[in-house]
Amino acid sequence: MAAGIPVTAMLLCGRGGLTALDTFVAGRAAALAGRLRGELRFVLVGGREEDAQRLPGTATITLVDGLDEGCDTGAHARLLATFIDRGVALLPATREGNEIAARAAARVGGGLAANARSVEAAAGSPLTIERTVYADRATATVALREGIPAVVTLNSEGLGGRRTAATGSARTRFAALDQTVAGFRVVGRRLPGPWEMDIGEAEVVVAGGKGVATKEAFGLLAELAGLLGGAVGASRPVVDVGLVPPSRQVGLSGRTITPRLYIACGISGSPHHLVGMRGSGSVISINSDPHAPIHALSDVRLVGDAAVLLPRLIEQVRSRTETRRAALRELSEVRV
Amino acid sequence: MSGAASTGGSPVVVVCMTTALDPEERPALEELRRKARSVRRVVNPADRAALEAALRLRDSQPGTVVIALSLAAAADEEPLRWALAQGADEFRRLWGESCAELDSIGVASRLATAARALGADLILCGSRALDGSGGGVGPAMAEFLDLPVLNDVAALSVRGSLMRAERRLRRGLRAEVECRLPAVVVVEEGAFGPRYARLRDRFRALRADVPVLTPASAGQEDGGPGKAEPRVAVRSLSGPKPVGGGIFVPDQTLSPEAQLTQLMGGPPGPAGGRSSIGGAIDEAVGLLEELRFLD
Repeated sequence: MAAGIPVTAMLLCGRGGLTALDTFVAGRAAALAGRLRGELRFVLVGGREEDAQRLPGTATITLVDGLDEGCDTGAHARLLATFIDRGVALLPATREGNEIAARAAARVGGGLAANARSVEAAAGSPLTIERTVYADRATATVALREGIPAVVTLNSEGLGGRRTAATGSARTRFAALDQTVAGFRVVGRRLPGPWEMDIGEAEVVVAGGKGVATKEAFGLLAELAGLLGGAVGASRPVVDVGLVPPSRQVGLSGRTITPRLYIACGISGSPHHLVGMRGSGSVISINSDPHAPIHALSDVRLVGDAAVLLPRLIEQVRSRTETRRAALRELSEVRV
Repeated sequence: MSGAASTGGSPVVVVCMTTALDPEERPALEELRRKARSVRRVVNPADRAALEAALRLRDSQPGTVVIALSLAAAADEEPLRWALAQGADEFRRLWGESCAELDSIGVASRLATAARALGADLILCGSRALDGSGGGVGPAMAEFLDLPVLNDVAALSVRGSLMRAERRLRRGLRAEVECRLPAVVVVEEGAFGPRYARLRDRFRALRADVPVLTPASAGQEDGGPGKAEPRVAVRSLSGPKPVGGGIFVPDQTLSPEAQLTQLMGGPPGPAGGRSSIGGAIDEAVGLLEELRFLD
């Protein structure tokens, strides 16, 4: 790719400001702009002045109104399209990020590479990205054609690597969104409780087993699931004693689920149970037995008494989700 | 674009479908590189949900016309006949020389033009193709047609030209939305479990004629997006990146006895090597943050 190509990062700030993924995308954008010797621009959606101070590189920063949850992304896609020129745009690979990226790429007739784990560029060669394809069976190295705009969304697989510290100076301005975009209207929002949400459709399932088979412990599990917007599940012994309805049983004689996150508490991990949850994106296991088979499948293992560990985890999660719950309470139509 | 619903006629629902690698198959990397025809392909699971959503709309509103539309080579026609067996009124295959190596934006451009030519009031898509990871075709189609797009839809109803839908958002939140037709809807996979096809419909699908549209007959202008060199091209394929967790494998450099001892001892120590409870909790919170479950 030729030198002097502008790089724009559109960052979709969470309620608590820039997320870890936003910061990662910002770092990659700064590095890319350096390599392509192009102008660096940030568009902060829902961002504040203090978020702008945390961004790396010497950049032009534009602050625009945030996206309320569930609202139309059309105006943001149009705004991004005005920034792209013939350059590169980076976004976080969230639901909204992928949607805005696809709409903006279509609008400018650019190349789209979604859910990339990395993006690389060198002067005189095309932009290349790496991403998982064929349902996680292969990794593809993909080249974007030179001379046309490129829109890339980055997922969290590259997190934990390089992060660029805030340096340089920035010019900050505000921009208005195009209010004429034909979209849809949100007429209501609802947050189903952990005992109401179906385990098959939940992003997070907090499941309990024989090790936590008490009403009090399941109260804690429901509290954690509620804070994360998830559902309560269980292994067979808990269902057998009537503590949890059979519709929430995970495993061979229950249901097979594939949530983004599965939190297993007091579940040893018998093969019959693992069959039902091994398609989960990530797993956190809490069990007092360090040799419990569930630990072999988990990304984070917490070895100890669930009655001690759960309240501490809940306390941390509660403090880190308070902003969102407060914001949801402010939306009059939300039934929480 | 203005469809039949806005003029009081029978609404036309176009369902965009594609094929994907059979999830049950375990092809070698070389087969994937060669895009070998021996690798079985099936209807993309998310698109099955989109078709089911369309059929349920027709059940609730008789007279609705459901058209399955796919940009697919002749070799992919057979699995896609499934749409007719399920109850689609028509199945149109879109194909031409320029369609062989299209990227997602090129695919969206051609499907959008064809859907417009078919007079679509509502365009339904699956949330993502199992083979890829983009999920950008639906939103890009909406942009080409200048229509609203609703993502992550788990329930849908249409009355006249007004549509109501439930969207599943992040962290459990549900949003009820209203939208005027025409529109593009991207259906949440798993929200619409497909029905069982009747045997006689399966036979009917096998014998049915499938009209082939070309981009030109659908009104695609020469030089449209994706016509020239693909915007995005796969340069190489390699094995999947190793992931954490999984089955614990003992250190292969140890003696068989030592490996057995290690196996009997289970996976490495508490909290992934962290000894303190506080450290383990921090690690769990770090994962929650990485997955965007925290503010």
